[in-house]
Amino acid sequence: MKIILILLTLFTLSFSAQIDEFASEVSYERDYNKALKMAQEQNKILMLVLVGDYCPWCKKFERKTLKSQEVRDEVAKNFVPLVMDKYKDKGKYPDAFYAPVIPAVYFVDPKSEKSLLETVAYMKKAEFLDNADDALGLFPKEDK
Amino acid sequence: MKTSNHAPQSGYFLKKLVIVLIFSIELFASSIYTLDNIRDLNLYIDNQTDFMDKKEIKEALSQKLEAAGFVFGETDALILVIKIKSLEIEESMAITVSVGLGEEVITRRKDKIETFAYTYIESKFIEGYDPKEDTEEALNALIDDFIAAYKDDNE
Repeated sequence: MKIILILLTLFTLSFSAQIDEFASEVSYERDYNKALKMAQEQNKILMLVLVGDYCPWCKKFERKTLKSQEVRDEVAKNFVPLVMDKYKDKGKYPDAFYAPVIPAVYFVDPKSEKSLLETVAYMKKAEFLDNADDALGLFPKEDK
Repeated sequence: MKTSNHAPQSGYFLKKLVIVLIFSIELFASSIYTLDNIRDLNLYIDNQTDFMDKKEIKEALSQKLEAAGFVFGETDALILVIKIKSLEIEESMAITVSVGLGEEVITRRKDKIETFAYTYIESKFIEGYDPKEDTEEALNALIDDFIAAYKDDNE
């Protein structure tokens, strides 16, 4: 039975989308409502990353910036991260975050569900961390 | 590029504008490819013209790439493919110049198929009235872009 379960898991994983693999590797949520609830409970900013499976700059943003240890540490410490496919996950996240350009990152206040800060296009680690820092600065003090 | 719903002071905006401008300039050096940890190269030149000299190209590009930190002559080096093609149209010449980095990769296909793939490719299509000079200029620009992207990824 155990072997069958392991084989089934491996089989499922081998057919999972790249976005799921990425989310699993860097511990990002894939469900907007679940992530929002977590952010509200933990008093953290919801970090919504929008990507596309056809988008080479998104892939580079994932592998060079978001997968780097420095960024992973910062995100795990201060944010509840969520990754969505702009088109394939449309309807599963608010239309307000339907970015014109991807990759895009929305730093969302979990109480008001409004964007504190948003970024578009590929960013290197340093720029991303700078933006994350700015977003933390914009998070209302009473919410921290 | 970033936007925010809050309204900080003008000095803040000026500072951010300068930062955004710096990053925008840097972004021109970036490419969609990832050129981390490349060192050893093997230059392969596919010259399909009669106005360019293969040996001359190889010498000029090797010098430029060596100056940028790349090493030639090692075993299992990645292959930097230079391809030059031309087509004569009346009194001018249509020329395609491309620079590609080829290497053996493991794909995400079923059974993780191994294949030779370009992990970097950029090209220029030019109309050359002085084919040799114009081709050299395009080739140099492409190599400069490659070196800039390499440095950008490895800084």
